Amino acid sequence: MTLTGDDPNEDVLEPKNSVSVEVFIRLQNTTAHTSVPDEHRIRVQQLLDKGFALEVPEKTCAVGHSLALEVICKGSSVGEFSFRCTAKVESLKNWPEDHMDEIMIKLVQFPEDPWDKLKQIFNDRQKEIVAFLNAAGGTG
Amino acid sequence: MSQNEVLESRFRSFVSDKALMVVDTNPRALQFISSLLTSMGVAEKSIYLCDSYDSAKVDIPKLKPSIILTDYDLDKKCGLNLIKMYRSSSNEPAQSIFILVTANTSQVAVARAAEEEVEGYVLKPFTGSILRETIVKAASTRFEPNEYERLIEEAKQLIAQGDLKTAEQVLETAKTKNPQPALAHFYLGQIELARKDYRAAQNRFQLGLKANRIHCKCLIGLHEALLGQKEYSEAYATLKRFSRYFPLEPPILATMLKLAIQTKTYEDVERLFRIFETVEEKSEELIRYVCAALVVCGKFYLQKTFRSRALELFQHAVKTAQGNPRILKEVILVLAENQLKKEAELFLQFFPANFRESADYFVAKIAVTDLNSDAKTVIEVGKEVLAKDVHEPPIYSILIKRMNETLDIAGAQDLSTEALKRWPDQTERFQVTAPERKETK
Repeated sequence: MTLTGDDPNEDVLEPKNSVSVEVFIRLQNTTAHTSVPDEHRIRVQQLLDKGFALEVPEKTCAVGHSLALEVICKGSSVGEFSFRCTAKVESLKNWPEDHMDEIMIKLVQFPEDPWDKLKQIFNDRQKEIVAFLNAAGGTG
Repeated sequence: MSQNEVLESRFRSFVSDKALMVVDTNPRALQFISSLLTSMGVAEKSIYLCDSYDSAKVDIPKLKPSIILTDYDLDKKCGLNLIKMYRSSSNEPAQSIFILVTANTSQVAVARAAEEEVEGYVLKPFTGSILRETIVKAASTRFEPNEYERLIEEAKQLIAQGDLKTAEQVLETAKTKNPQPALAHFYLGQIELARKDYRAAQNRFQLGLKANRIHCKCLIGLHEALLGQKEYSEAYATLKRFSRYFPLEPPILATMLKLAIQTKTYEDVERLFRIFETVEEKSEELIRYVCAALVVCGKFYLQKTFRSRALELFQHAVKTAQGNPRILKEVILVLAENQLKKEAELFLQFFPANFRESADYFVAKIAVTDLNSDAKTVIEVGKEVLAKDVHEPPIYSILIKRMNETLDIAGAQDLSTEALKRWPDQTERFQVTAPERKETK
């Protein structure tokens, strides 16, 4: 046992985890019959209790429109998973200089388990990070 | 009023005369955070928005914000790199608050943030009231520090003033205010390091690690205390422990390479080299350490007859050194020592054209010639090199050896005398061997 209390035979020179958890969304506007199939064009700004705040290409949708979403989560410790759901656009703000719209959407039909899993992943990771910061260099 | 409401009220008073800065390349994120801050009672005119790393770098020393909220990833630059400049330009560095607000959840980013002691790390996408709570909590350590935090801050100032004895007393009191006082032990260890009492420092840091196994500062402190006692194996083990949780910044990577060689932990050199390959800014010093470690490790592998592994390391060393003639020379000398003719010739060809009149090239060339040619040829080439005023120990030792073989004892003696004048501490290398006389009947 070393002075730091570890087993010296452990492989301690592991490559660091440089993978980040990411959420991607593919979106179909079922009201206007348009879509944004490329998930990299949509950014998730907020994870609400039962919805999202998203950044989407402008003119993707309008307030009141119905959307069909495929939500994909990558990089978490539970592995990649995805689920489909429907949502309604509750508000919209246009950012003309970036050709983006910022929309708040409320989920209408969604599978509860993967939705809860998605929120839990971020909640848990946030708690882990706070615990690590306190342990590694905090005032403790 | 609930406790949260009390804290938020105190937060409003705290920020009433302060500047806050938000740094993010996403204008919507900037607006979201700015709106959140105004909803928390921060005046709009006190909030400065920067949409790039470069603009933040200019504005931080100008505006001296008390609180900075920044993304980790600012296009191709890292927001965390603003922290050193922020703290050094702050009027009250102990009061500065630096919070990362980012989608980067990787352990590398988190570990770096821990090393830099950020006051908060909030994930995007934003969820609930976490950002709000984190800002208030971070600020409360400034406007309402607990007794332990207050005493630690007091001790830090005393240490900075050189009053180590009083700092020690304050820290001993601080220890009683926290069930896991790793930071207090760290500063007590720092005091012992300042007194050069490395054993006492080691004890302190170990107590800190007993309270908190991955305390970054205690790990580094323990490493320093062990180095001070020349306990290289344990110092190296401590850095290995550190590297398990925190990314290896170049100075620590260089130290690990040195210690890996010193402690003959050659199998780690390859792993450290892989980490080196991911380092973005490779200093010349780090490159030197890496190349030297690869050559020494390769030499060890040759001794163990792991030839292909050794050659791979030599190739890495030469590629990393980017044509540095000294590294090429070292590799060729090792190959020549091990009678690897073909390989030595191959590496000789790697010398860049502009270094083919250098001393390193001539040494390498003599070593290769010594492998391939008879004594007469080697001596001729050697003398040509000496005539160019190139004097290196391997040239002399090869020539002396070959002159011994050809029984040119006088020549060997002259060279030996010359070599010993230049390098008096290498007597064994320049020995002239008297020829064996065979008895005839």
